Amino acid sequence: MVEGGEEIDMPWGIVLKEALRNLFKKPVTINYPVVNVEAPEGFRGLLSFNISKCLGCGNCARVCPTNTITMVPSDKTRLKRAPRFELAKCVFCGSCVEVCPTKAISFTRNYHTAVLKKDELVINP
Amino acid sequence: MSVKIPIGPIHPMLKEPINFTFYVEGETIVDAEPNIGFVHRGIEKLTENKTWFQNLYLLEKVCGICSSSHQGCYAQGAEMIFEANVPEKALYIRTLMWELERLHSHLLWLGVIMHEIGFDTLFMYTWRDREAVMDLVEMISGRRVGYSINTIGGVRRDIDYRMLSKALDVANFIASRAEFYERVVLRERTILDRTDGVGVLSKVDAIRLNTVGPTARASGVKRDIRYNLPYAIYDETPFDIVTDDGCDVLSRIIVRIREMIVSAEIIKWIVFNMPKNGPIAAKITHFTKPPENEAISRVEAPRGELFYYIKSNGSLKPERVKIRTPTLANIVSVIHMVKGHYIADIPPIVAGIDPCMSCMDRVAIIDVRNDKKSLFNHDQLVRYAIKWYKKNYRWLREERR
Ligand code: SF4
Ligand code: SF4
Repeated sequence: MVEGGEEIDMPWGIVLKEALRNLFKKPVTINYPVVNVEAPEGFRGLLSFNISKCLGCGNCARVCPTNTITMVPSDKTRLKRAPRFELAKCVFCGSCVEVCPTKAISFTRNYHTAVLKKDELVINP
Repeated sequence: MSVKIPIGPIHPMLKEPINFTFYVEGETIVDAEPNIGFVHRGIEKLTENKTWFQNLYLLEKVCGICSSSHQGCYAQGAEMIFEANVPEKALYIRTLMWELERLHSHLLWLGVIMHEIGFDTLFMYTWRDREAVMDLVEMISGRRVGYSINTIGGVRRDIDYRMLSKALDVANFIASRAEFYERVVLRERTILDRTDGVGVLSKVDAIRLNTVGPTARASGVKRDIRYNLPYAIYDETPFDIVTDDGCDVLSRIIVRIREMIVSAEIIKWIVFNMPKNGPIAAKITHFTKPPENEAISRVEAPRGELFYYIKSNGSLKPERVKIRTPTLANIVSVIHMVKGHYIADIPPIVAGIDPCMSCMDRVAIIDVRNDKKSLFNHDQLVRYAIKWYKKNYRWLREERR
């Protein structure tokens, strides 16, 4: 509990000063869709997949916690299968990026994940 | 006349929906009854179907605000099971994230409680200042929420000079802001009227009800896992436990504000003492099998003690993961806090223990005698409280003196 003092009875004292100071400052919020903010380096955004590096080992599908990745047959890899990503399920944990032996999967800095159709977020091999 | 007020059925948007029934006589609350279990997500059961590593990212989702505490607590327990040697640098990075999390959680809470009592100016300021911390965690971990920085055996990302110097700036900035908020809270009549002497939980009750975290510390109980049972690097870190003897909502605000200053000090200490180089994780992979084992892991999350019990049967998946979150430990204390206070005091008192604010989605006032029923939603309750205080603050001030 607080002891009564002179300043306590000063209504709006200390915040008013701060509020007045802020009145002359630029707004801190960003006008998002108009002004685009660049995500910092190392940001974990939407995944990108480079099939030419992929071996088809299937490690990524084994570690993914949300079953985003399923292995489908493909002629483009050595083991004749390649991952298919349903990115709408992805939680950006980065397990697949970590575990891939050839660095075929990487994060981009794209955080615009709102789409009209779920299919737009599917990466087919 | 006895009136029954149930508060808070569920709402799909909410994190932790809780239902309270308040029994009131006139404006005074005589009893309360919390009712939990509305969002049983089945996370504990789900952990049994996921591997040790996949669970890291599942358990992080238990709470959006203290995600790193949950993940870290689980990782710490799993490390005991794997009998891993965690490199020192990993512990420093982990602790840094925990303290940053405490900073942004307390800032968020401070904004919420100010909003509950109708002081939206301060709500805007605290949430603006919180962005500095959020930017920093985004820079370190790659995401603003759900940092996924911990892994079993250490951390996943190294920290560089640029991040450390920014951490220093953020710590200094937040410390200066926290001092400003402390001045504001102790001097603004509006805040004092709504929080001073409201929601009193005596020290005896706080101990008896096993409250944890800032709720216990605001009642003068020195209970802090970082201090009582040091984990990670807290046994080397110099810091003081913040306690206050006010036992009311004001004390809970003051304790959290002072804790931000302490956290900022810890962050500065970590920045200066962080090992320059060295490994950041032990060699455990997604496909390593642990021995049969069990472990208890405790972490001081922003809201209080977080407790994990983990059992392994030697396979790739845990056999049992049991979680006890701080809100569960604190929720019973709300009954004792509201007794004898007014309906208008419900929002700041319930907010005071830092549960999910929006728990109070709807309020139904039921007059037991003539079965009259009126429904409030949370916004209306806050508005009602502000109006009620405007009308009654003069005699209340006298009464509380
Ligand atoms: S980032 Fe995580 S959730 Fe997303 S695809 Fe990779 S492993 Fe799955
Ligand atoms: S882990 Fe890498 S190489 Fe293996 S299947 Fe996945 S993308 Fe291909």
